[in-house]
Order: sequence, then structure tokens, then C-alpha cells
Amino acid sequence: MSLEKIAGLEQEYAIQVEQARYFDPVEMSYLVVDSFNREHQIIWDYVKETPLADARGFSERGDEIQISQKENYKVNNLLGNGARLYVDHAHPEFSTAECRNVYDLIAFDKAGELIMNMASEGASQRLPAGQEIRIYKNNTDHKGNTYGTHENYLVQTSMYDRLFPALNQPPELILKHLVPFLVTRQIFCGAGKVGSENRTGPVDYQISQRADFFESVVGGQTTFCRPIVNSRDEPHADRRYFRRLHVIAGDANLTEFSTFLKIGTMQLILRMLEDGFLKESLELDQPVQAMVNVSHDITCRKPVKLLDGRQFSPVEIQRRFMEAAEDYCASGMVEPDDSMLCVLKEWRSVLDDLAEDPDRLYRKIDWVVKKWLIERLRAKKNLPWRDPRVKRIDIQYHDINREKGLYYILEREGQVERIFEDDKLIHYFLKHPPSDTRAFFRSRCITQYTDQVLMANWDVITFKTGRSVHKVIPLQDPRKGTEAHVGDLLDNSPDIRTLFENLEDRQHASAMERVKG
Amino acid sequence: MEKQEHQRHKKKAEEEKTLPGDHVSEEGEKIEKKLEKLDQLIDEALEENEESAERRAQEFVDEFKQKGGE
Repeated sequence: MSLEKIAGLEQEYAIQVEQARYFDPVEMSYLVVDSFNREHQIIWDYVKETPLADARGFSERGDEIQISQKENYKVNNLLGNGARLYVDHAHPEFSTAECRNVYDLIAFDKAGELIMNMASEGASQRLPAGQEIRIYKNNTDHKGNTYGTHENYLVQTSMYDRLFPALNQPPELILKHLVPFLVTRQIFCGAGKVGSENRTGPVDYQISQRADFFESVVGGQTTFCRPIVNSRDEPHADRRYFRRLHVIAGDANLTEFSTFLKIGTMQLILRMLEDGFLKESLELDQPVQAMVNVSHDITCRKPVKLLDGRQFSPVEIQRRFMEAAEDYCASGMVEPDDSMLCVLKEWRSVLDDLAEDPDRLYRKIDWVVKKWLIERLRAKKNLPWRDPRVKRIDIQYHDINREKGLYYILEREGQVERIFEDDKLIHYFLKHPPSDTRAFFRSRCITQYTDQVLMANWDVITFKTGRSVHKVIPLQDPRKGTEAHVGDLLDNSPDIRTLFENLEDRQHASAMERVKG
Repeated sequence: MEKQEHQRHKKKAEEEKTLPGDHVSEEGEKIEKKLEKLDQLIDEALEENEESAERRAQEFVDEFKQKGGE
């Protein structure tokens, strides 16, 4: 039986400083991270970070992370809602807390935008008069530099091992299912881009920000020879049972619908893979080239060639996955909740629209919304595609400032459809974690025992219990540490001494239960 | 014949009465106004009202340089 797909999103934001002749993006990113609610001295625990480990059983060569405590504090800001605000390369980055359902994740991702806005406003006040930091949620500077929007999904170790067999065996599940799904899903979760990069051939407008940058099919690396499927083996959980699938082939979305479909459909695909439900091989003949071709075809109709010689449009390939998911939800192998049923309904509806006329989605799907806006302004001002004003529209669509960002102007004026009726859930996640994952425990420890927490990571919290005595609470199961699981315990533990006592009592009681059983 | 003609006129008049012409034009005007407002807001955000809009857009695009990430 498949695992519930607890998921998270990481967004590397673009950073600019208005009215500055020169600025260092790394220093500016530090300033942004330091300008949001610095209420504690907690640092990030890098001990269990293994970015060089590959799921296929080896490690890429490279330096292990070595960072001083001072630098660590400068780079990281652990937030009270269970999220992480930090500097990655030359970008401020926000990683959401672990979310159990797709609605929470959309709202948390949006809360991340608001946090980034508040942080950049605070940072701007620390700059010389007239200078202002601007933050963009996109994936390219249109000059060949890309930065990521990554998704993380909790998967079973048994399925993960089947996804990534040893190097001498073909990764069949990846080739037959995951790659064709990722290559074609851009048609509903691409963020749209004017022009092309990375020598992929000229085009006025394409579906994805990222498609031009993928150069291999599977790999552990993310900064060169970028793979469609990333094999970085960093579970952030008990690796005997859980792994994290780190998905790097996705765009930065602004519309709630694109994020909803991006996450919701991927959750269904992974559950079907875990339950062995996907049977039909849709292995692509040339996956890397297909990624570009699908993105460069805004009609969504040009056929993609499969290894077995069949040819399907991207919509037809997605329709096969969608119909398999419908069968899966009706099969009794899974109890579909409301969000899964809603994903299925929207998936079908969006594919119908894409097959008929993609422009119908001008209020829902990022690349179509942006295209509608650009074409409207091009027609009004008689602008050719190469006019810099067109590219500026593309970039400014992604400005997360609610007054200046073009997406947010469209949203405010009712020009885009939303998943949420209001911003209540988004504002809730500014300060609170999801209550139904281990993020709840992390968040409560950070806010309740602030001075006693030395450091934390996704799956561990280290407490200071004496001058040189540290105690560790592992969070190895992302499904535990929920409000239902530890809410009472935390309420009844005013300090960490009682927390550890209560935990010991609980462990003792649980062991006794097992003995009795 | 005359009676038939009269019936046709009567039917046409009734159809005209029920045609949503007025309503449509009212709706159309509303949409047009909404889009005009939207254009204005977008223009303001893009500083498009200035004569130097193209040059400023070029500067904006040129200055938008990021380092690779991930």
C-alpha cells in the first residue's frame, strides 16, 4: 500500500537592487535572510546533509559542507512555522515545511512569497536611500543562468530502490513512466518564457522557463548536465523506510492552479508507482530533446515520438496518465480524498482545454496567462517579440511585490482564477506549521524552547541541556510529531526538562504496550 | 399573405425584445472598462507611459543578471 505523499517546495528567488550601480547578490541574499524575524540563535544542522550521495549507490566527488557557526547563522533563518529561509548560491531561498495535502502546500508556498517580501522590505531599509531590493519568483535571467524550483515527495524506500537501480541496470520505472510524465506535464505547469536559451533553437515564446536547461536523463547533479530526474539520495528521514524524491524539472509557478496540478498530479503518479499500478510503457525516444520540443510548441499538438515508434501529442500522453489515475482511484487500492478527486477533475478539464485550444486557460495556467498578457500588450503597442518591453513583461510577471508584480496585478483585478477564495490559509502559514506532519513538532520546539534549541534540520532537533551536554530528538518519520501525536505532550511540557521526562514516560508506556501485545 | 407578413413582423419584434443586445453591450462595456483599467495598471508598473519606455525596458532586461543556482 502506497504512502501518503507528504511534500514540500523549495524556491530559489532572483534578486535585484534598484538604483544600485553594483551589488553583490550573495551579500544581498544574506541581508534578506537576516531581515526577517531574527528572534533566536538557532543554526542549521548540516551533519546529516549528503548532497553528493547518489541513489544508485555511489557518491559524487566534491567537498563536504564545512561551515563555521557564525557563517551558518548568517546563511540560515529557521522559522517558527517550520520552514527554512536561507541563502543558496547567490539566491535567497525558501523551503516550505512538510505538507500532507496539496492545498496546504500551495498556501505555504504563497506564505513563502509573503515572507520573502517582508524580508526584502526590511533589507531595503538597511540600504542607502533610494535603493530597493526586488525579488522575482522565476527560473531564468534570460542570459543562460537558471535557478531552481524543487519539489520533494516522501516515497517508500522499496519503490525508491526500484526507481534507481545500480548503474549497470536501466532505470525502467523512470524511463517508462516518470520521464514521459515530467517531460509532458509542462503543458499545465510551465511558467512561460519569451525566447530560448542554451542553444536550443529560436522561438518567440515557449511553455517552460526550465526546459532549455536539461541535458541528461538521470543524475545526482543539479548545476551542470542537468538531469530530468535527480538521483540525489538525501532522505531527511529514516532511510530504511523513507526516501525523498527530489524533483528538479519544474517551473516557478504564480497561479495557484498550476501549483495545484503540478503537486497533485505528481502525488498521484508516485502513489501509482508505489502500488505498481502504472503498466503502459510510454518511454520516450529522445527524452532530453522531447523536453525542449514540448516546451517550444505552444499548440501542444506536435507529436512526441516513443521508443516503440508510437507518436502522441503531449496532451495525449498526459491523458493516458490521467486516465490511469482515474482507474487507480476507482480501483480500491487507495481511498481517494477530496483533494485527489479535485486534482483528477481539474486534470481532465485542463487537458480537454489544452486539446481544444490552450488559450482557453488564460485565467488559470501560468504560461497561458503570461502569453495572454504579452499578446494583449504587443497588439496594443504593435511590439515585435524581440522588443525589450516584451521581455520585461516576462520578467516582471514574476515580481512577487503585490503592487508591482504583473501576475499580482492580474490577480488583484480578478483576471486570474484562484484555488482559494481568500488569503486566510496563506496568512495562517506565515506563523504556523501544518498540524499534521513533523513540522508541527519542529515549529513548537523552535517557538516554545527557543533558547534551548541549539540546531535543527528537517529530521533532527538538538537541544542544549547543559554547558556541553546536548540532547537530540530525531524526527525520522515525517508523518509523526503531529498536533494529534504530540500536541498534549508539548502543552504539558513547559521546559525541555519536562519535555524529555514526558517523552521518556511515553516511550516507556509505548514499550510496555508492545510487551503486553 | 398580409396576415402572414404581420405575424412575421410581430415575431421579429418579440425576438428583438428578448434579444440580449442591451445587456450584452452593458456587459461588454464593463469588460472593456475593466481591461482599460488593467492596461493602465500594467503600464504604470512597466513605466510604459514614459517616452523612454523602450530604452528603460532594455536597461531593465540588461541589468537583470542572476547567477546560476541549485
